[in-house]
Amino acid sequence: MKAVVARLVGRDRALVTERSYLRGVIPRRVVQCLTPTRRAGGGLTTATATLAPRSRRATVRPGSWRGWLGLAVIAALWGSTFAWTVRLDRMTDFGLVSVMPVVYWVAVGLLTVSFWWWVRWRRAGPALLAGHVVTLIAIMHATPGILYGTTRYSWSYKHVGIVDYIVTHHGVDRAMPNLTAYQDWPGFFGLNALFASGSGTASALSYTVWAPFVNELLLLAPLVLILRTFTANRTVVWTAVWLFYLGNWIGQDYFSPQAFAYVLYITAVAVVLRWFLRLPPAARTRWAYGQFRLREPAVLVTSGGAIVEPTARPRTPAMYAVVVVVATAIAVSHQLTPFMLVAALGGLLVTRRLRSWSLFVVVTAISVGWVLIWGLPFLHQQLPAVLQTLGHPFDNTSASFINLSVASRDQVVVAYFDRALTAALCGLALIGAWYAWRSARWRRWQPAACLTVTPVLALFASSYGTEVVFRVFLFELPFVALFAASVLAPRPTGTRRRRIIRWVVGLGVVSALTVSFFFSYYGKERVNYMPAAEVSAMERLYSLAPPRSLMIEATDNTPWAFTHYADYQYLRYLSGTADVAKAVTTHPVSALVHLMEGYPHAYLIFSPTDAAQIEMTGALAPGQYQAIERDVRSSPQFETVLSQGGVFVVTLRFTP
Amino acid sequence: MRVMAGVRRNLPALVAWAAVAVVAFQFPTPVRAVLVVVASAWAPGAALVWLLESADRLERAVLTVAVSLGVATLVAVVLSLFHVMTGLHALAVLAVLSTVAVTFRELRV
Repeated sequence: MKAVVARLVGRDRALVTERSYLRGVIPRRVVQCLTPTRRAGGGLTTATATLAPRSRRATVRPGSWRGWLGLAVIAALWGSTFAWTVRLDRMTDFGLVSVMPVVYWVAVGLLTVSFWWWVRWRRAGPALLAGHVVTLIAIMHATPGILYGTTRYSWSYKHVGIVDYIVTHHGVDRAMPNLTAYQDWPGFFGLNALFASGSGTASALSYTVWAPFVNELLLLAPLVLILRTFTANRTVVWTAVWLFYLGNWIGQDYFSPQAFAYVLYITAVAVVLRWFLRLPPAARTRWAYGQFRLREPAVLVTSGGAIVEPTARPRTPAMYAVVVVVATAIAVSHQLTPFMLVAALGGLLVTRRLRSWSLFVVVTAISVGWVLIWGLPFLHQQLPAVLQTLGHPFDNTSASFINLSVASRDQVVVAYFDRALTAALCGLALIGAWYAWRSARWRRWQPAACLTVTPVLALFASSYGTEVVFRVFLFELPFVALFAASVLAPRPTGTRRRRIIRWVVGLGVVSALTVSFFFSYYGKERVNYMPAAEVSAMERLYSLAPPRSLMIEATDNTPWAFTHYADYQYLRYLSGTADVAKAVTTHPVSALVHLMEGYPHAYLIFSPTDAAQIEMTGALAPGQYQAIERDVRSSPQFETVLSQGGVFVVTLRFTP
Repeated sequence: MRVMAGVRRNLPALVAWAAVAVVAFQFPTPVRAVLVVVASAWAPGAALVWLLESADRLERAVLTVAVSLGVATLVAVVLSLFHVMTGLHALAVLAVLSTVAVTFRELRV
């Protein structure tokens, strides 16, 4: 058979794997065994294990059926949550945390303990650990959708509106005055137009309820690939995956271009790290001769068990093309993510870890090229704001935080939880980076440190609509999780007592992070929850309102613009200029009449979700929104158009 | 056996054309939805992934989905810019691309 292979592919390519194994891996293992840091017995065991033929019995995971059984029980407990009556209307400013039944929290607790129990076994099957992570994702991100039955977060509805526009008009219109950026970066919306139009659904709303769960699930595989590039230690890899999901509290997983672009970004980074990464040659040589006391072999281990050095991986044109295709899809879908990818590649290039400088040039050209060719009007529109925030990292950071002095008491607690969660993960990551820096691991982990730092550059560039600090944290999170996991992951070494203490401490920290996650992520659900009655009221309003009507509301937190969005105009009187907000709060009736009288048809909307947003963020003094609503209801200048599901819509009684 | 192997090799193109057929003939929504998602999030990548020379199953899975979503996104954008974006048009382009990739592979082998 081997002779046939040699004849077919030529002598140079035949048996290349075997020759590489004989020339590379075995001598290194022998050198490793002979280093003074290892005991002779351990060395002999390692050498024997390396040289012996691989046995399929080694892959048997003893006892893992107990893990699967436990997981089934946990999933059943979680499923039973939906048999309970969850009173969503009683949600406080702690969000879903305030209304979820005990059985839900029992499932979360058991899942945490089960994962932490199984991850400590180096030989625990990856399928079992992946099963735990998928269950965690389902518990965290599928629960709101199942409970609500509607798509969460008001911006998802606007994104559905863009998809609806492309389905209806078969293209984009750059002259559109509303939501212009989405017409200039149509990638995500075009793809969803393909899904919606192809599958024959009336609207993308039919599936967007699952968007957070699907987006988080899509991150799992590329994330594992990234982590496996840095370590072959399965415990560290899966602990890092767990920490990533606990740390991903900022909620950029709803139906949005940024969530889609982030999935592609993580995939592009995984490809770059696995095919285009370089280890310094001198360091590799030193490693090969055992001059360093290494804790882990500086090699990359694939799931098939093959051991290769990252530098030995061929840079095929096909892999180059994959990065280019993915980078182009990112560039046409989102404004910020392409430049995060450029920064990541630039960071690797500057630290001499990227093997292909042309890849950086091509990805930069694509990202900049799309902005210059297609996004120029939007850039021109945003340029003054960008220039104003350029080079002010501290101002851009502080602009991102909510004003705790006016937020509700519960929201202050939620804000402390999310800040503590972020600080704890970053603190653990710093300790992990310190340990890595002091060990031989640093050579391999330096790219991870580089990719933790590169997103921070965005703080210097823009406030990104007061969100930049959260986006920076999101882009550095995979690597923060890796460094944090290297500190927190259970280790099989040391005395039994030390192992137990370490496991218990780790479980305590992970439990605290879990609690913080639920407060941080679920703590904003009072404004993210769009009740079905409210969605249906808005559908009714769209059937009543003629095209070119004005829709006016306080803060934008309503499920609107999801259909025929281009036919209407939208105004937020608290989110616009300060003069308008002041006028409406001081003389509501006259100010609102003034805003509405210039349009043939104008509809003023009062909704429970808008009220919740105002109450939680302190945009108005307590009771002021209700006072405005009372004044409008009692004014003879307005007439009621719709009162349904808590939504109250009025129009001017005498339109010009 | 040889027929089954042929079907397996050409599966991405077959799935993509099946999606085109169910959309063109207005099949019921659940069937269409499943085929459309598979045809756009799996088929183009599966047709091209043989070029990528990766033996790792996880790598192949990630690359398949990423390439598929990337290609589908770019096709949808190009069609949107020319104001001819419909599900049927986009799926037809994806089916042609998948067929070309599969045919190229057959010719190479």
